[in-house]
Amino acid sequence: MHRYIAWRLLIAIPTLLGVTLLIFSMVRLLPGDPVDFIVAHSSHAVALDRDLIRRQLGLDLPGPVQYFHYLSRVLRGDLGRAIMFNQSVSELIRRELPYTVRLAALAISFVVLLGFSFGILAALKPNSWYDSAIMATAVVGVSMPDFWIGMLFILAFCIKLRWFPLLGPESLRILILPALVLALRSTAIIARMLRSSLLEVMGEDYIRTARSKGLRERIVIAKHALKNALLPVLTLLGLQLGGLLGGTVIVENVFARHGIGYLAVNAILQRDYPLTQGIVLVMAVVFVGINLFIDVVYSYVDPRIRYG
Amino acid sequence: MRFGLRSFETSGKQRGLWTDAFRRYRRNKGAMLGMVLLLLIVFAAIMAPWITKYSPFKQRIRDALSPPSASHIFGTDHLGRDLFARIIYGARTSLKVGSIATGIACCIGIPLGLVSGYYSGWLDTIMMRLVDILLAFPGMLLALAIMAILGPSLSNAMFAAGVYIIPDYVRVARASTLAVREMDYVASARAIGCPSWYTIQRHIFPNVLLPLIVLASLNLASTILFVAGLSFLGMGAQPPTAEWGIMLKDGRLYLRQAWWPAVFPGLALLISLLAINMVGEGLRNALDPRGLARGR
Repeated sequence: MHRYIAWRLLIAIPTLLGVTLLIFSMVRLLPGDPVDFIVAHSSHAVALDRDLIRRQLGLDLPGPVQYFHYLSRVLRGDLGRAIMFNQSVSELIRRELPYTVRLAALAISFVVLLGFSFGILAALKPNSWYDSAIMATAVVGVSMPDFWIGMLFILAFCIKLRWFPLLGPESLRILILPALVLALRSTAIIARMLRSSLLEVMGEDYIRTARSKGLRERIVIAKHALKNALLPVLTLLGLQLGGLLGGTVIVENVFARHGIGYLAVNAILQRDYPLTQGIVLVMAVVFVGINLFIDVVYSYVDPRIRYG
Repeated sequence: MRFGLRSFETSGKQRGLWTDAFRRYRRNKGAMLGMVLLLLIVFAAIMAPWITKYSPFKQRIRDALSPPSASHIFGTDHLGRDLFARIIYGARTSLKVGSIATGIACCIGIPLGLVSGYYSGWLDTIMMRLVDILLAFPGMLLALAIMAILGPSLSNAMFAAGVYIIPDYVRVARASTLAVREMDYVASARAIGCPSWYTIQRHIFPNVLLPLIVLASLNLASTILFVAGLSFLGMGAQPPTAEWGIMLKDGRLYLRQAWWPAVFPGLALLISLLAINMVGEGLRNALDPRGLARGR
């Protein structure tokens, strides 16, 4: 077990190195002199800052040395200074990250809660009217543009019905709509997957055995079917987490919420490269970490993997 | 099914792969509905100037934000442009964007996957590591990084969407190639001295095509949505392009005054995505019953 975890940690290292190299190259891929480019395109950088920007990006040194410097700075947690606010990038990210984490956490709870309930409900009586209704909604849900449904929610629940506030201090009430929007597509995907996975398992011999023992249907489903149907759903849930992370960018902008995604879009539109690099790095590390975590959890749930 | 495109060579009475697939597709009601919707959208995109008399760019500030009426069936936007015209022309943009982005991914990803699967060895290992790195970025983040380098524009957004889905094609093409490579006909081709590139394009490529077609049809929808999302964030299409994402971005700013600029472009986007996804699912059932092509 520990060997498997150690191995997974080890192969994450080259991936992370590749990620840092890619992010490091970002500024160097700009056409012409990056400093000219940044000064010309940013409404915040002044011509006077040129040397400062050059030094901050480490552009005054040879390439490999630059990369080495960059890497050692990053490892010490120093992501440079943002041009926009003339503030430390790590400070800015630390300030915005909790908003995104809260949003994502609530969204994941919605995905698990709603996706599982609807998936099980639909599988209980295949081809019943509620199964058809749930699956039809799921088909639409998968195709639903998240930024559009977000706008419709604002229009209906914030402007017309006034059930939820659109702006205001962070609270559960203000989090619900954005989290629902963020959760929508993953919920639809999970519900569909759980339904088909459950239906497949329900045809197995051990389910017939359980039923013929006289067990109540509720126990057959909860104890025998669900456990086995859950494996493929768990993999999918892991894949959805990454999508959810990307989705926060859209949702935070639709709802004009604080957060990493909102910061990222502004950084890019303002051509604030140190800030953009920092955000992309942090999000990529979080993403790799989530995948690692899921792999490890998965190896606990499914012992076959460890010996594969 | 196992023998791939046999029907191309033996055009006899035998029922071939494509006839079979077409029969399976036709039995699927959702897929047929999707196909009809998609054809309607394509038709509208091509015939745009004949369908509406309005230009998607002509501004009439006097008519700004006028609600749906007989003369403007979907109303007008904040600059007094006819929303119906902009939505119809927007279909052109979206279809173009989706096909080009998917095309980019196919042209780069498929050859890489074929070569990687055919030769295996160190080339394959390196390729798979690169794919892993690309996959280490959540899609939206990769797109943001690309947009940060290239700057916001529709063609850059298209490119970003294309790059994002390249790994899918590499992996699907590679996995199918690994299976096909072991077939007798590939061994025969090698035995009679066919060069590698010839074997790949003549004997392997046609036999790995089916899951790739399915993948591409599903990706058409995801790339359209992706680029519309980037446009919504201000990083894709720039004004005054008629594009659904940017129309929604504008609509959002006037949400308190008018609902129609926020509702209709999104509805058009949703219907297009639904249609394409239904066609894609239908193709998957008809062409790829083993489910090799798993989209993201």
